[in-house]
Amino acid sequence: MIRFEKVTKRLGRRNVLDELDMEIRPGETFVICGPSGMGKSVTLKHMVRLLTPDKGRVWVGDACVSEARGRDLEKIRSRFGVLFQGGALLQWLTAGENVALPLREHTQMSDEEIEALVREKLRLVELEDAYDKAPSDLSGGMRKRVALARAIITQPEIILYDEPTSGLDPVTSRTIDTLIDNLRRQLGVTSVVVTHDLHSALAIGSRIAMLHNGKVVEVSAPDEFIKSDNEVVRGFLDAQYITRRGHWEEEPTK
Amino acid sequence: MSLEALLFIPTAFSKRSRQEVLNQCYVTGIKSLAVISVVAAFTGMILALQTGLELRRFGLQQNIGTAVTVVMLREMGPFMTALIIAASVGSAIAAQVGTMVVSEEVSALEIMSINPVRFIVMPRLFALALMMPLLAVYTNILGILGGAVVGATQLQVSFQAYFDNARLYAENKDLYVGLVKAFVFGVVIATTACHQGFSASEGAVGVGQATRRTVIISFLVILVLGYMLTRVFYR
Amino acid sequence: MKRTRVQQLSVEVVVGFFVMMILLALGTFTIILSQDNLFSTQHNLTVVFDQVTGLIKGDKVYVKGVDVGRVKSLQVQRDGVHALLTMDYPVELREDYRISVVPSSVLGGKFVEIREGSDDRPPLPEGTTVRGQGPADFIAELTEGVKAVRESLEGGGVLGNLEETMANLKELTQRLRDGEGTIGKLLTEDALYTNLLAVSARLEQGQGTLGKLLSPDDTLYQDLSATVAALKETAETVNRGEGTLGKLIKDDGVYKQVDGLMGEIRAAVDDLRETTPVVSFSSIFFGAF
Repeated sequence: MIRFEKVTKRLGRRNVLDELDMEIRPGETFVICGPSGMGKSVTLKHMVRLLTPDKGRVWVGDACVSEARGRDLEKIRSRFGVLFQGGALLQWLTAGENVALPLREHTQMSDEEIEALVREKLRLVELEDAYDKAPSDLSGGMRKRVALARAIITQPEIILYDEPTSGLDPVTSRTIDTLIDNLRRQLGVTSVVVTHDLHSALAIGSRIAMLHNGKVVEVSAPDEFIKSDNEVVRGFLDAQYITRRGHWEEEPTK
Repeated sequence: MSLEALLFIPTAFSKRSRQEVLNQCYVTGIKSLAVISVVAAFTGMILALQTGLELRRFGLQQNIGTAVTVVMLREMGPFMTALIIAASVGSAIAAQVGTMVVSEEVSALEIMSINPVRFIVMPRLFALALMMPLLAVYTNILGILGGAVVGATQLQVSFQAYFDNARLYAENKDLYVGLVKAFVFGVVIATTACHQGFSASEGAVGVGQATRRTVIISFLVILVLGYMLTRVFYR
Repeated sequence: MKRTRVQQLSVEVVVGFFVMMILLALGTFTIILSQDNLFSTQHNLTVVFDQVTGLIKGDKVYVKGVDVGRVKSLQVQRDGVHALLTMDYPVELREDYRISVVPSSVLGGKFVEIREGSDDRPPLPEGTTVRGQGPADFIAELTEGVKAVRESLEGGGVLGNLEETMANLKELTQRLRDGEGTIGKLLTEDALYTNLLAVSARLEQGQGTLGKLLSPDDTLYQDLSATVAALKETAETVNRGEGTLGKLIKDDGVYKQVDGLMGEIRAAVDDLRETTPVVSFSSIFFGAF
């Protein structure tokens, strides 16, 4: 579905991505994890051409997103829904208007149709009563859920999540996790999640990729991931109190 | 960027943009009225007092009508309005756009294939370009009235004499060249603010810097352009 | 910022109201500044100038020193510059009207001055082309005048004549003193005196014309009388204003022309005086900024 071919990206003086190769299969939930500043978000941005690789190519299906322009790019982007780290809701619009924005801008639907659809999506993220509220009146978790509703309103094939649980309390984090999982099951979309929260990675991912120094050092299913012998992965797992012995869902040993 | 925004001007009247354009007009125009009123009135009063005191030595103080009117129309009206709007609205736009960039709202718009220039720049550019001349007219009126009040109370120049004198030398050209200036200043402020906002780097520091730069650059460009426009229209 | 529908409506109303008010004010402003009084009729007058030396559209038109209108347009055509003047009051031009472009100050700027002409002259017929005069550059005229005076003084004119006269006079007195010529002899010799005695003796006897004049014979008197009659007739002719001399004495045209010239010079001086406040005001104004 999405393929990275030797993608190199330099930001400042550092190679954030260094000949990165990666493939995401249709219908899976692909989790990219790793410590902060290791290029997780950068990878995600390459998929929708918010960043252009210095070298290499990024493919979405048959289309090369890293070289597309104009209408083609718009077409590729329309296959994506993106949930940004802070939600990225427009502050001067209400939650409902934010969710309705893509429809307002790109479809000829009537206001009534749009409102019905918006309410439906808000119901999906369990925030129907937030319709008339301003983003500034919502909590961080609620904002992310509204943003999620906006991401899915155009019924994209692929949803990208940038740190969906960062800055949220564990309970809300799990709610978001559940939501992501539900969406995948209900809508059958391909999901790419960027996170440093391994708990959530292990809970929702079909495959987990570990990014380190601009390269993918490990790609495996959650069960194998926690058993990995890779030093970087181990260090990352240990830091979050996840051991090889205990299953991640059990009480972590302190 | 500003040129690109111009391409979207026709969309300003479309249903989906109209509300935003109106909101921006409201923010730019109506919310700045209070501060502009004070500045405009006092600009006129200062002009009247300064020239009036000087002219009184020659017994020519009735000429403050012309002095205040011509100076307000040609230069001070648009100039003062531009400075205030650059400092208040321009910096606010830069901060807002900068925050939008930093919080990835602009990226979100791009993903939704909503052109940020059309969505963010156009309404602000349109509102500023439209409201600046209108505000300049408002500034002119208040400035001239302020001058008249000072004339009547401090310099023994009656309202009648003041306005008769004002009509003697002030021309429509003065008024409209001033409005052209105001329009250009509006475009300058909007362009600078949006440009700085869009190039804001990460974090609150970046936004602060964008705001600061917007005010400085706008001021400088307004001054220089003001001179050049005067040069073009009055040889 | 979130706004309810009512708030949004009020935004529209406020913005709309503001825009309307300002546009209204702008319109009023424009009308006031354009100096066109929309509610009173305007009087147009087309004047053809040979040249206008920098008169521009919007310059003022003065009648008897009162600002009555503007130059509305200027068109260059074969026969000169057609200037359309628009005025608040109608002007009644007489045959001796005079329309001229006058510099309004030393700093530049021009205005059109209309002198309607004297009331006792017939009004200008309908449809006559009104011609105006180019700007009297009074500083140049002044220079010209001074130059002419100086030339006449220096270049063998008045001064030369005066010197010659003095020389003649000197020579004459010299010769008188030397006893040259008749008068000289009269003063120095007594031969004339003896002659004179002889003449008076002959007069007494009624000899010669003078003698006859004094004698009872009146033929000479008759002749004289006829001559006086003829002279009287000539004087009468002159008095009736016939012939060149008569015209010179009787017709006041020349006098009027001279008078008019004087008036113009005075007007030019007045103009100069009028512009003084403008000049000083301008200098103060520009000094202030």
